[in-house]
Amino acid sequence: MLKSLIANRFDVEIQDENHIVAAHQSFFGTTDILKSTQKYFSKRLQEIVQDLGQGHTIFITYIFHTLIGYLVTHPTIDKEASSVLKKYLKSIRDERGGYFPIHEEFKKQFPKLGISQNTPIVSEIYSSYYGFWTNQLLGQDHTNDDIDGILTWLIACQQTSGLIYSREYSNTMEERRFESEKAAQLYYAVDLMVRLPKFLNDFDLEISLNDAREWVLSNFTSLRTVTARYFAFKALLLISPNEVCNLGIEELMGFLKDRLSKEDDGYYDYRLEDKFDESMSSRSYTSDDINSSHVFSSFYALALIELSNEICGGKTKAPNKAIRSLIEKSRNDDGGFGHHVFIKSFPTPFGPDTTDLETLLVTLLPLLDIA
Amino acid sequence: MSVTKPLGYLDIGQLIKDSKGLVESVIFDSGAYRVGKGKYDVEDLGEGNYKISVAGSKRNNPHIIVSQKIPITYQTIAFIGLYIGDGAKASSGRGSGRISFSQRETNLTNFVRSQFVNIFGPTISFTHRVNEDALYFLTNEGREKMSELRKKMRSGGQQIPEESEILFSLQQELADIESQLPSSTKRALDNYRAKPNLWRRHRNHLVEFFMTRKYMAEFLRLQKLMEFETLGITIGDQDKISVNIRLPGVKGSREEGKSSRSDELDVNGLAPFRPILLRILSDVEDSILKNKKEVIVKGARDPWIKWNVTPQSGGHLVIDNAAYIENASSVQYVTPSGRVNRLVIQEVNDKKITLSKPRSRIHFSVPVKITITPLLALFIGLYLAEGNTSKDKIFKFFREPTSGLVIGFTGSEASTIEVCIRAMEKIFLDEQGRIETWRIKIGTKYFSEAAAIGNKLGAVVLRRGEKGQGSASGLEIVEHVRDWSLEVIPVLQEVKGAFDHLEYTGAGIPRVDVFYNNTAAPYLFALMRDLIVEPELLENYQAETNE
Repeated sequence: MLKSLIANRFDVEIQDENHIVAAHQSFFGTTDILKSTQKYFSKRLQEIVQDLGQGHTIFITYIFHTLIGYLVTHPTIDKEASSVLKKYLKSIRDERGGYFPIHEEFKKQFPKLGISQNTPIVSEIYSSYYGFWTNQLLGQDHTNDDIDGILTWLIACQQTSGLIYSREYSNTMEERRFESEKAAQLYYAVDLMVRLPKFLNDFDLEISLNDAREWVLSNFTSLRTVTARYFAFKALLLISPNEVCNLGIEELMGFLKDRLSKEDDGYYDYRLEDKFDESMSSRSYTSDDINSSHVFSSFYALALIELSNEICGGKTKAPNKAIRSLIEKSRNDDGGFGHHVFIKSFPTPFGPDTTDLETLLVTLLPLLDIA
Repeated sequence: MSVTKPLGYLDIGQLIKDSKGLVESVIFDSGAYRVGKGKYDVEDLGEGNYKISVAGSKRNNPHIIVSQKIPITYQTIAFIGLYIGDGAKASSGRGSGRISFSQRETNLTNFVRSQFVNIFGPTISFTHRVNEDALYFLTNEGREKMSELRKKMRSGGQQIPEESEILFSLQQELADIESQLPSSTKRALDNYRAKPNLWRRHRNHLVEFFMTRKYMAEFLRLQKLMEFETLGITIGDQDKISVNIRLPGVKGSREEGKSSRSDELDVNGLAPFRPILLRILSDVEDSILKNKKEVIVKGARDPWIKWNVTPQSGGHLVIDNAAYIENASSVQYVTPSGRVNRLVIQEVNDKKITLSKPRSRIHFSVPVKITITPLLALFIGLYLAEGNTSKDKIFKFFREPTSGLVIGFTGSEASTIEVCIRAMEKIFLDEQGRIETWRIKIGTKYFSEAAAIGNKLGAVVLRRGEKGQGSASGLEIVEHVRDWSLEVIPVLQEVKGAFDHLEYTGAGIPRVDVFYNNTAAPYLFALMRDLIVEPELLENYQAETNE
């Protein structure tokens, strides 16, 4: 289960523990980074289990990435930790079949939170993806009714454009939704639609998947961020693998090259000139704005190069060795990885440095065939 | 008089001498460090004045004449707060930069103008700029106003085309007009054309814009003059008025008939001395926040800023709150239905007075005597710049029907927010002095950065509202942005639990809005208004002098 999940979501094949050690040694020239992430995930899982045991709430986003990171670097998860996680997952299960991003109790941490006390926490597509696969990883199967619920809900979330998103947390019109949200949620939904019916055979998702496919084919080259391109590509790969080459691989390689940082050979998610002011419908950035290459965008860019080479016979070389300088720059004192986001000259980075996802991506990076 | 008695002194000559002529300043504002650096000479002119000039300047010899001991009064401090909030602080990169104060409310503009003269002397002059979107005039009502104006101008002897000629001119092609425009205007038009939404919506207005904007400008110039006259303010030889009419829909409300007017007060002759101004702002604010009675240049001996009182606790003006609240003409409010109400004293003991609005169960408490400290004066200036209450309401609520008196302010600088929070705690003795809720707003220019947080986490940006301008519902990101705000503005840790929501709205950098209970607004705004406009009124309620 773990290997197939990682292969599907992160585009890498793990053979065994020795494989990952050898890959790190070959790519980084050391296994220090692997040891660092191993420790990081061990500590993170412990924190999560402890917090849940004390009645705190944790976002399923963090649980999903931490659990995978832990299982990649450790043979098994202990029974007690598994039991705590399973219990929590049960508590964030939506009766309709999906998963909430977090338990309702979260609202108590924000007594005045604008998601008012009368508004229930509901399921979202990304959290349902994470919740479903976390449960599968823990060996907790879903019933046919669960799967029926999720698929029915996903079909209902599909818009006339072909995109799939829920309007319960966000009723923002489609043109104003962030492209990375649209593409990622499409991918998560398509993944569940494509892979769940193996459990249940009486759903005909052909029309829904075809509409999703049409959206990707029509909109791919208008997407300005690496993240959006990555998820859109992977959505199409799930639906119609033969057509990914029709997305325009040469254009995609040029797009990625434009987002390569000269400083550290990492990839930006967007170029500064692509910053878009939606109220003005025009590009908008100032000389004080700082753009950074990131672990997530670099991984996604390399994965796109690998997939394009593999499927479409491309021959693009990636700056795989040089990207080490980005990884080193992204190393943080807590043993995790992730580079800052800065807003102008605010002395404090905007948001977190280390994230579970990016630390996981650093763990898996040497396994990309392009590495 | 206590209210004008100096609370301290600035000695700019001392600053320059101790800095060996090189004055440097750094002020953190709107997410960027505004740096200033300038080399100056000081000459003692005798009679208590300095001449400060730009060192080594061969052309024009820019200089200012200032007092050797510039008194810091309550008004000076309030001015500093106002300029920190609404003043231009960016530089051209060479140290020099525009000195300009953005404010629509005429009382405040006039106040700031007078303080500039008090501090920087008689060599400076002022340009009162009025900026408006052409869309304001491009309605039948607006066109009628232009027509009336042209009629008056003709009858005043000015050579103005007849209305029929004006109408005829509106039938020209834009391309013909464009070919005659100056190159800077052509460039502006090219930039305009490059914004597809704008071009599509407003291209049909452009001929009318170019043909009639001089009348729009004249209309606003006369309106500005009238605003000064209404308040009894005379614009002298030092002042001129300049009007800019923007291409339709570029910014502001972007609707026909709706005003997006913004006014600025440009200070001419002060740009080369910008580092000195910024230094005054930063060091005065810092000395108040740190409660320091002296500010000395590093390595020097004597202070260049000296307080006669302790900035957070001392002051010459101590107000008998009961007398002030019961009798001052400004401590009242006029409801939307026109009823004049005063706050009701519910209880008095030797420490505090408990008040409420008539028939209200919500009470708040103020001290029996309140010392107007430099901290409070700075807060008043900052609030008048950054407060959420519209400024015109603060100057009229006690005599005209007014609704929407809210107490709240917006900022992204730790120092500004801290001044406001500390001052409110001194003015009010109970819950009224504590933040009820706070929120964070992120503008469209920084949506990419918010999305980056989401992508780092594996979460998505979600927001409410058809146009996405409601509260954020992607909760992972909300939690991290809240934590970021608590690091950037540490004083908010004290009210962490009052965090309300994150909003993706407006255009600017992430900033914090804090909100208080509004019950005490009439008292608070009366204090603010009186200190700025009628400080002698506060003297009538003097309890005793302090320090």
